[in-house]
Amino acid sequence: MIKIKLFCAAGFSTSMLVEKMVEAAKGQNLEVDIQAHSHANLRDYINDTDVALLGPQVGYALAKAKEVCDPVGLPVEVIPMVDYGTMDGQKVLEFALNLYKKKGE
Amino acid sequence: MSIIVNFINTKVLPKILVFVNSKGIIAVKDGMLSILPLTVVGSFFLVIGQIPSKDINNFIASIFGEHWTEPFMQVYGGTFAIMGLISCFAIAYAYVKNEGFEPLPAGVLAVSAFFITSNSYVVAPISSEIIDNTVSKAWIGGQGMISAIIIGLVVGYIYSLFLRRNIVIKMPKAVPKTVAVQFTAFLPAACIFTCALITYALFKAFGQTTLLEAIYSLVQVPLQGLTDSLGGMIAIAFFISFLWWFGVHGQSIVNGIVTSILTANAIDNTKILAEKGYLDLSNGGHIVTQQFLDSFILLTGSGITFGIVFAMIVAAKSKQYKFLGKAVVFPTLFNINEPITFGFGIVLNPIMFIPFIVVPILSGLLVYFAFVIGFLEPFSGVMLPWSTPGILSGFLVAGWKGALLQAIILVISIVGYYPFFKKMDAIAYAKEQQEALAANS
Repeated sequence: MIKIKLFCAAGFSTSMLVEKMVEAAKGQNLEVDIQAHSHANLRDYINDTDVALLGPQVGYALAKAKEVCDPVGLPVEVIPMVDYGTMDGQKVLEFALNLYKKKGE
Repeated sequence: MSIIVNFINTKVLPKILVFVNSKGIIAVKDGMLSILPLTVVGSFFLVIGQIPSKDINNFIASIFGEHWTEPFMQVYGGTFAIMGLISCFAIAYAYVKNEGFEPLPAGVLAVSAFFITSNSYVVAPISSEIIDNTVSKAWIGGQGMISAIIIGLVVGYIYSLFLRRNIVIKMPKAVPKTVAVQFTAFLPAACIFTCALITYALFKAFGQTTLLEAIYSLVQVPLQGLTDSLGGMIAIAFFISFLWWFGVHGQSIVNGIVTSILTANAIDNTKILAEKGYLDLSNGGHIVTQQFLDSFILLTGSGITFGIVFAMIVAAKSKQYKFLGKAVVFPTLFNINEPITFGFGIVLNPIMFIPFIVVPILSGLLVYFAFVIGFLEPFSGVMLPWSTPGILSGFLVAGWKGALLQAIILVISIVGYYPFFKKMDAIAYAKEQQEALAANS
């Protein structure tokens, strides 16, 4: 089970994307757990997450997020704007899985 | 155009973001967020306690007696009226939590510091008699808001500093951890209480005043006046859109800075209503409050993008926008529009810059002047979560007049965005035709 967490301002708009990602994962029979949260609470989830993604609108907080995530080896990146805007669950899922693989290497 | 955009993107925005990302601003934002239940839920009790119709009031009074509103006003007294104190706790808590330490002791210490710097007596309004051992709800409520922020941040900072430098009382290993943790706060507490004591003594000695009173008249009143002015309203509307256009969450950033002040404006309004029984601009009512921002300037999302959604559903020729239009109806209803800003393409899109900035400002002007000419009365009661759907939110904060204004704003949005939408749609349509042609040949 790979745990992916999406962080945006309040967790509302990413929760829509989460649904799309879950659908995409189901189509491929992937064992994933995907959730949306507010980036203010990132710290609370670092030990329970395999990949952290930031919405592009809070991309400015990436440096801060890295400070928190790097020490525990948690990969964190900003979701590409176009994939986010079009709510492309498949692409964002691939994006997350790639980050996860990279971490394993 | 691109030179300016580039300049702002590389030179100006990073500076704004350093400020926005500063520990203080984040702690204030997180702290203020945690008091949302008090304002939102508390406001409903206030509205029941302050029913504007005399007939309804008299009717209920005839059944339950004339003091029937008192229990409801107790809820007001325990929510709005102590907002400063609660914010002080929440901000110190949020600051230390974000620093990665156990935050509860810091919140507790902040409340103590708040009281140490305040007067412990109240001067009776008519007889000028000094009543000892009392706490003035004026100062732990809206009037103490900025001081609460300052005290919360300073306490959070000092507490974190002590823990980071490991200046704490260390217990022998045999002492259980749950017990040892209690001693951690002793040294920071001693330092914080001493600082608070000195602050109190200095303000008394040199100004015959307190930190809270001084900050209120020197900082908070001017800030409240600033946000409450026409220029302040336009600046708020402008910066939300402007930052969003660069792909940065403008609503969250601007809110982080102005929410505490706009909330203080709203608390002022409720206080005037609770004390004087009526509220208008002449007796100190504020126009620009959190409700103004959430229910009008941010209607259907930052930039009031309803017009784009409407045009996509009704008039889109391109498949892309037809599809997107249907997909965003639901989020738009709840004032969420990231799929528009990123998916339709407002971010860094020169075509959409003008309407995205102008529509919310025009709408803000409309509402502002509705107050000035007396069409609307200052918002006093209901505070809603920003995600409350339009028309309903207008109705709840200002009755049918609020709903009507929101309807007019939606029309402004449709008219304002339409020509720009047509341009975008034509580009998308032409691209689709070309792609179809290329695929066929």
